[in-house]
Amino acid sequence: MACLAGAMFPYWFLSTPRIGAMLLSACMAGSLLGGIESTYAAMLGGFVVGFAQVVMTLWLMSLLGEWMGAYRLMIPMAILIFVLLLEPRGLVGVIERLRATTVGKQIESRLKR
Amino acid sequence: MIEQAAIVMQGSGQRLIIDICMFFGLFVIVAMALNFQYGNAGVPNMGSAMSVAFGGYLVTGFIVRILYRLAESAGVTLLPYNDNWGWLYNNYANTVTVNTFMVDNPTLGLAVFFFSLAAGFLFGWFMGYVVSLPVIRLGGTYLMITLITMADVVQLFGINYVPLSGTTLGTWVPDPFEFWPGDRGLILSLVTMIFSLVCYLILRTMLNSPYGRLMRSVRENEITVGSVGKNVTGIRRNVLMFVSGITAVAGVLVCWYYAYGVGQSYARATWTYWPWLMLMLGGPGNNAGTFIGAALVIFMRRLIVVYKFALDDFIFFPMVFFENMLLGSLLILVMIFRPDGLIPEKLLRIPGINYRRLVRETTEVDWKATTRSALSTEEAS
Repeated sequence: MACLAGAMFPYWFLSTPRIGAMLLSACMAGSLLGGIESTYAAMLGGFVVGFAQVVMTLWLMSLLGEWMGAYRLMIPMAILIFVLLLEPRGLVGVIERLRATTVGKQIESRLKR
Repeated sequence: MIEQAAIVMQGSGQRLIIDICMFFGLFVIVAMALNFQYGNAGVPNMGSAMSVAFGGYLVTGFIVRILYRLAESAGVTLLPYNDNWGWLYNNYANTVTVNTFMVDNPTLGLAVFFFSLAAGFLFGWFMGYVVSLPVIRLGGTYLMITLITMADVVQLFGINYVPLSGTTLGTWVPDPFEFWPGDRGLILSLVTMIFSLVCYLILRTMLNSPYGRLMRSVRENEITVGSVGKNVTGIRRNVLMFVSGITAVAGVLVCWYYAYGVGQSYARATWTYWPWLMLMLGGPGNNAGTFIGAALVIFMRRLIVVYKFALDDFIFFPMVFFENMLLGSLLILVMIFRPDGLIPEKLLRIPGINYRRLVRETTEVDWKATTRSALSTEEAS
């Protein structure tokens, strides 16, 4: 799967042999945001990080200037740090915390019906 | 007198030996710092490239400006360098002018050089504190991931921010040893070797101190250390800050050696993965192993770099790939065949205590009597 992603990459981005190193932080941020324990959650996390990286870079470029585009790698790093500090298990951990609450249990029982 | 000494020393020492000594000194500093951190305190720092970059940025972004200002105050006319364009395109010409000025000012050159070492340590130490604020509470793998990412971002600043290190064009650094008629690398390699020896002695003393034993206990079991009232986070932070300071000095030295600084040179492979290979090859937890690991790896690397054209005829693939292939294959081989490294960790030397005897001491337990008393207690209850 990672190889397939790499094969798709040069169709859209300017690529060099070192591009994998630049992708590393975004990949880690995505998988940690979703949660390492779940495949589907990691997919969701990857989408959120990729979306946030593009949208926030555009927003910051319009707010601060064109130069901000070069620092787009800082966005996954910020996401990574926030996730690790707030909920190291990512979305999986958030869902489990919600399940433990009374409201979460009620929602779960309703969904099961 | 200085000229004659320089000619004699240059004649006896080949360029390759100077190069190997310089890089051995630099990488021994970084690998020993990693050993202090990972081998003894259990903090896996995969961001040592970041600390090296801090040292490099200090020289290219701050020390070079100080040298320019000092030269200007002495009456030397320099091309404009305060705006981005001037900093990028007048940098080389200004460096040549400052070098001419430095020939007659050896004291100034030496003062700036030693100031840069002290400033590099303090800057690295401070940045170690800043970096530790969000990450120090994280566990092993998570800490590694975050520090790798942070190192990438710090390198990104160097590549894109002009006043820091001239983006992709880099910044030329004036030579503080311009008064020396011979090879500048000779003095720098000597200073680096001496500094690595000083680092070794400091780290050795620290490891054999009560704080060193506390660090090892943090490595073995953080929860136990925390339960007896020790500040585990504080210990980890102190270690990260100290090590960041030492590694930043290596960054300062490499900038003076190249007489040039550019963001791309603080690559993750060079300043994180290679020192980790040296550490794992020598054996984590002891500095002697780190020395041997660094010596072996540096010797191989410099030989490949220097004799790449000669070696190209014997290998069917381009020689430029061989260095990175060597890194990967050596790491795999070490992890499979010698996970403890060439020299496994030894017991600590604690003055006044025969630690070896204490560890070998066996406790005799009379299991029969213990079982009998336990049974009698159960029957009574």
